[in-house]
Amino acid sequence: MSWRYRTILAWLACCCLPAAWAIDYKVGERLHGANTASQSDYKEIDWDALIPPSSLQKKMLKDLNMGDLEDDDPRAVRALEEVREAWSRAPTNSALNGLKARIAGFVIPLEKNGEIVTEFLLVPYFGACIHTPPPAQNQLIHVRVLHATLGLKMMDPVWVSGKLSVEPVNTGMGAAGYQMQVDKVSYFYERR
Amino acid sequence: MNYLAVMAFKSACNRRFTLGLLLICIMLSVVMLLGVERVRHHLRASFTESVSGTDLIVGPRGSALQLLLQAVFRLGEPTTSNMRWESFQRIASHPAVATAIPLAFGDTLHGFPVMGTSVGYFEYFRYGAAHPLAFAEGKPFDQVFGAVLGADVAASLHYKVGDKVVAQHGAGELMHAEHDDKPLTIVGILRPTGTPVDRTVHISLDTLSALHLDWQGGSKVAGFSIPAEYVRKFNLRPRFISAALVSLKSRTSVFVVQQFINEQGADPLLAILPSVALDQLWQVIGLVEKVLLGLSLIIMLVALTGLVAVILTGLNERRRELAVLRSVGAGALHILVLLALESAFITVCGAVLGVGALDAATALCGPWLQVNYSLPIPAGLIYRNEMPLLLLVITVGFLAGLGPGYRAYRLSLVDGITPRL
Repeated sequence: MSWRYRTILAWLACCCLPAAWAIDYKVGERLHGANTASQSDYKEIDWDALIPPSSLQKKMLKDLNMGDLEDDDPRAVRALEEVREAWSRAPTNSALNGLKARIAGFVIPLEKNGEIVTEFLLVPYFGACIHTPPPAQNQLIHVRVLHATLGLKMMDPVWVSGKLSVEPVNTGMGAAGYQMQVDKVSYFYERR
Repeated sequence: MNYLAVMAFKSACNRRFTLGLLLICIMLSVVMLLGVERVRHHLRASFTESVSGTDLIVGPRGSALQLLLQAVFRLGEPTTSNMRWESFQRIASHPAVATAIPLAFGDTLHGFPVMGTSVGYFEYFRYGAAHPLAFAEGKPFDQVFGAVLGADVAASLHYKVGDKVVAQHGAGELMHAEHDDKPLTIVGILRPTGTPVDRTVHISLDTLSALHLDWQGGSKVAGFSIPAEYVRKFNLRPRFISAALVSLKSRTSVFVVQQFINEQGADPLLAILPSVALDQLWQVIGLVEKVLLGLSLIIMLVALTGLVAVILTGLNERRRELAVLRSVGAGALHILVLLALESAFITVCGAVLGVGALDAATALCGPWLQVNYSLPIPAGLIYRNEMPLLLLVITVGFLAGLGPGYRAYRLSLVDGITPRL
C-alpha cells in the first residue's frame, strides 16, 4: 500500500513548499536581478530612476568627499543637516508621470481586506520604516491594487506593473510622491 | 456506469447504520475544520478592518503595541503619560495632514470604555473597506454631557436615545468613583460596525474635562463639587489627550510626518503606522490561530482514518456481495468503481451536511458572538477561503476509498465464493 505513504509524503511536501519560498532578507537589502519573464509593454525601472537627475540628493553626496571627514567635522554636521533637509523635500521626477513601469520592492501594507492587501507603500529596501532612517519621499510608491487577490505581509518582496503618476497634492513639502494603479501584484522570486 | 451508481447507493442503504455513523463523523469533522477556519478568517478580518484610512496613530512615547491597543482596540489601562493638546494642534495644522482626530480615555461605563473625541470622529473615522460610521438613532453630540453609544454597548445595556447614564472613573473597580453628579445623556447610537467602535461610549473632549473639573489626582475633592449646570463657566479646553488618529493628504508623506511628530521636542511623542503595528500584534496572537488550524486538521485526519477503517471492515461483510457481483459478470474494475463511488458519496454528503450544519450554527450563534465577544461572523453559505479545505476533505475521502477498493479488486476473484477449508 505504498501509494498511501506516497500521497501523505506528497501532501507534506506541498505543505512545506511555502516555507522554502520564504527567503530571508537583511535590513537595508535591495532586490536585484531582472525577472526574465518581463512583459514588454511595461518598462522596467529601478529606484534610482525615481530621483530626478538634477536632484540635490545625488549632487550633494558627490560633492562631499566622505573619506576626508572626521565624525565631528563641522562640514559633516552641516552636510547631514542638508541631507535631512533634502530628504524631507525630496523632489519627484516629473518625466516619469504616466510611464507604464514595472518595479520591484518591498511591501508596507496600508489597507487590508482580511488578508488581501488593497493599498500599500512600495519601498526600495528591506526593513524600511521599521528601522530609521526611512526612505525619502521620492523613494516610495503608493500602490493601489484594483483587483487584489494576493495576501501580503509586511516586507514581502513583490513586482508591480502599472501606470506611474506624480501626485499633484500640495502637502507643503513640494509635490508629493509617486502613485501607481496596479492591476496585479506578483511575488518576487529570487534565485540565490 | 449509471447502474453502478444506483447499485452503490442501494448497497449503501443496506448498510445505513455503519455508514450513518461515518457520515456523522465526517460531518462533525467538516464542521470543526471549517468552523475554526471561519472564526479564524473573520477574527483576522475584524482585526485588520478595525481601522482604515488612518496613516499614523500618535500618542505618548512608549510601546507601539500599547498605543495600538488603546487607540484602536480601546483595551488596556489608560497610560499615565499623555499627549499635550498643543502638540495635537501643531500636528493637526501640519500642511501634509488632512484630518486629525483626538482620543482621550480614562472612564468606563459598566466596563465599556468611555472615549473623549471631537465631532470630526463621526465624520472622518473609517473602518473596513473605508466605511464611514453611521447612526442607527440620534445624532452626534453637540452639547456637553451628550454621549454616543456603540451598537454593542446599547444592545447589551439596553439603552436608548434620551436615557441618562453615569460613567465610572477609571476601570470602574473602585466604589464611589462614579461621576454620579454629572450624568451623561445618550444622544445617538451607532450602527454595528464589527469593530471596537461597537464597544465604545463616545463623548466630547469638553464633556471629559467637565466630568473631571472637581477632581484632583484621580479622586473627588471632598466637600468640593461643581454642579453640572455651572460647568460651562469654566474653561473646558482639554489639556491632555491619550492619542490621535492622523490621516494625510498624500500617503507617501507618511515618513516625513512621522519624523516631524517624533521630533516634537517638548513633548515626547510616538507615531506608528497602524498596519505595521497590527502586523506585529498579529504575529503575537497569530500563533493561537495556527494551533487551532493544526488541531482541526488532526480531527479531519482522524475522521478520514475512520472512513478507511469502516470501508475496510465493511469489505469483510461485503465479501459475499462482491463475490456474487463478480460471479454474475462484474469486472474487477466495476468493483473498484463501486467502492470508490461509495466513499466519494459518503464524503460529499458529509461535507454538504457539515457546511449546512455550520451555516445553521453561524446563523444561530452569530448575533450572540457579536454582542458577547465582538466577533462578527456574518451568515453566509460558504466563503471562498473555505473552498480549498472542503475540496481537500472530499479529495482525501475519495482517495481513502480507493485503497479498500483496490484491496477488494485484488481479493474478490479468489475470495467469497471459494469455500475455505
